[in-house]
Amino acid sequence: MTKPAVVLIGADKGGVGKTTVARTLLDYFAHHRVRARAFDTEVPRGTLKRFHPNVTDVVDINYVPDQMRIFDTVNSTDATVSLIDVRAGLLSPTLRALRDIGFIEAAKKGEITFLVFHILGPSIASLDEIAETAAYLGDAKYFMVKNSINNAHFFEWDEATHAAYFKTVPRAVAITIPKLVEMATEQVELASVPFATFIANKKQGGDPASYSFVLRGYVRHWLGNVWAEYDRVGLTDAVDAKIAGAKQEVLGPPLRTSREPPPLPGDQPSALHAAGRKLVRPE
Amino acid sequence: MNDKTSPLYVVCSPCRGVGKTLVSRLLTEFYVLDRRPVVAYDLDDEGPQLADYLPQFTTISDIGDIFGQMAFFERLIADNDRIANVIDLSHRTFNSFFTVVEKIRFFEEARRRAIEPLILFIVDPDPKSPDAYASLHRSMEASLLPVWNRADPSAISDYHAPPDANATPTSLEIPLLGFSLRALIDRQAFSFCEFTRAKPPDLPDALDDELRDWVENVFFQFRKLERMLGCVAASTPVLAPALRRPRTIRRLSPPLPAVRGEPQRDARPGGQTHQSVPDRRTLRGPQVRQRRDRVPPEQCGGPIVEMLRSEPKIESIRSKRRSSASRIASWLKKIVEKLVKPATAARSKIDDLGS
Repeated sequence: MTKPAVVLIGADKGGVGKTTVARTLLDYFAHHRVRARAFDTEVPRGTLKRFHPNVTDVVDINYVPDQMRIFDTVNSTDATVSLIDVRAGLLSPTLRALRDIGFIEAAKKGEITFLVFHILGPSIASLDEIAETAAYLGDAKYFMVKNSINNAHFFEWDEATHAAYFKTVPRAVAITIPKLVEMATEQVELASVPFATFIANKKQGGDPASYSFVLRGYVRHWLGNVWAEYDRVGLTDAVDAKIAGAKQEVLGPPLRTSREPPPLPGDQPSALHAAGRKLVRPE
Repeated sequence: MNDKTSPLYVVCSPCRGVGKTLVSRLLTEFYVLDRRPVVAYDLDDEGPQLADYLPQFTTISDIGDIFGQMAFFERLIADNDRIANVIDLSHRTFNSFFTVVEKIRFFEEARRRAIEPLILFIVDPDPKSPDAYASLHRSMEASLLPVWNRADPSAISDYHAPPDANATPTSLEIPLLGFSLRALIDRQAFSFCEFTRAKPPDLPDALDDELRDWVENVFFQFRKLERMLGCVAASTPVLAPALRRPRTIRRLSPPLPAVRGEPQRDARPGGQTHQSVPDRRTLRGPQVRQRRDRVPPEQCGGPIVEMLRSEPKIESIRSKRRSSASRIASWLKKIVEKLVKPATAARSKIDDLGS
C-alpha cells in the first residue's frame, strides 16, 4: 500500500505564483496517474478550484472542522497525494499548527510523506522566511521554489547572503519555475482550465476548444520545463508514485537535451532529408 | 498541387547578402507562372525586400513579439487550401524564428495539417554558416536542403553540368549568371513571369537566351523539389505551355532532360529538335572555363562595355577564387566534423548495445 503524501504549497507574501505552482503539480500528478486531491484555502471562492474543480475543495485552514476534513482523512482517502494551497502569509502559522496537532511527528515516524513547496519572492526578505519556516519542518522534504512567472529577478539576491540562508536548511532543494509569456498565462487564466487541458485544446468538460496554436505551444514548452524540474528533484519518488508514459500523452516526445542527432521523423527518413545528409559524407 | 500536401519553403541563412530574396522571388514566381496559389512572407528588414519585388503576393511579417508570432504562424497553418508558402527569412531573425519554431513544434503541427516544410539553407563561406546548418540539422523536424547560389558575382564557379532529371536532389543550385543579366534581374521592376511571356526591350537575343536557360534550369530544380516533397503529381509541367515564347536564337545549351513521366522539353519553333543543334560541349571540345559574358562581340556593344568596365573586378575576383574555394572546402569539412563523426560514433554505440 502506498504511503499517503501531503504537499503543502505556501508563501509568506501574495502574488508570487503559489497557485500557479499548485496547478502545475496537480497536472504533473494527474499525468503520472497519481491520484491527488486538493484543498484551496482561499475562502470563500477559492482560486485553485476554478482550474481543478473536480479534485479541489475550498476550506478554511483556521477552522478546526476543516482541519479535521483534511488531516483526519489522509489515510482513508483514495487519493495518494493531498495537496494544500495555503493562503499567502499563512505558511508558517499552518506549519506551527501541524506541529501542534502531531502531524510533523507522524511524518517523522514515517507514517506520512510530507513535502513543503515554499514559493519565494525576489526580494531579500524572502530569505528571512526560509529561516522561520525551517524551524517547523521536521523531516519534511523542503523545496524552495523560485517562480519566474511574475518576472521576478532572482539575481537581485546577493550570492553570499543567498548561500548563508540555504545553509540553515541543508536538506532544501531549489526548484526554478521558468517564465511563461504573459499572453499565454492570461489565456489559460481566461480559459479556466488546467495547463494540460489547454495544451490539448480542450475545454473544462473535454469539448474541443479553439485556443491559439502558438500559445498552446508556448505553454507546452513551459510545462515541459517545469516537469523536467520536478523530475530532476525526484518528486515522483518522493510521493512513491509509479511513472507511466502519461507525460508523453500531453507533452509529446521528451525535450531534446542530448547532443546526439534526433531520430528522423517517421519510420523512414524522407528522401530529401536523407539526400541532404549526403552532402556531409566524407569523400 | 495534389490533394495531399502543400509546400512550405523557408529560405534562410544566418548571413546577409547571400541571395535569400532572389531564391524567394524565383520560388514565388515559379508558382505564379504555373497559375498555382502562392503566398510569400517577407521577414526581411533590409532592402530591397521581397515585398518590393512582388508586392501583390507578399505579406510583410514581424515575429518580434507574441502578437506578430501568433499572426504569422497561425496564418501559415490555417491557410492551407493547397497554397504554397514561401518565407524569406532575414539573417537577423534567423535564430529567433527557429527558436520559436522549435518551442511551439511548428513543423510537427504543419505536417499534421498536410503542409510539408522544407528549409532551403543558402550556403556561404562565413564560419557561421556550417554551425547554423549543423544546428538546424540536429534540431529541426523538417527537410533541410543546402542551396548553392552561384548567381552571386562573387561566387565564381566552373559548375555548369546539366541537372540529372531523375536523381534525388541533394542540393539546389542557382547557376552562374553574367553581370549584365544579374543587374537586370536585380531591378525591382523585373519579373521572371513577364520575362517568360515577352523578351525585355533592348535585351540582346543572346542574353535573352542565356537568361531563359538560367530560369528554366532553376524552375526545373524547383519542380524536382516539389516531387520529392510529394506536393505535385508527376504530370504537372514545369512551365505552363501557354506562357512559353519561342527562343529568339538557336539553343546554346542542350535541352533539360525529361523528368520521368514527362516528354522531352524543347520549345524550338519550326519543328527543330535538340538533336539538330550541335551540343555546346561538342562544339567547344573539352570543358573549358566560361567567360562571364558570353555575348559575341559582333552582337552588340553594351555588354562589351559592361564587360570591359568589370574586367578589373573579374580579375580581382579570380584572384580570390582559390581562397573562396578553399573556404567552401573547409566549410564542408566542418559539417563532416559536426555531424558525420558524432552520428557514426552514436551508431557504433547503438550497435555495441545491441550486441
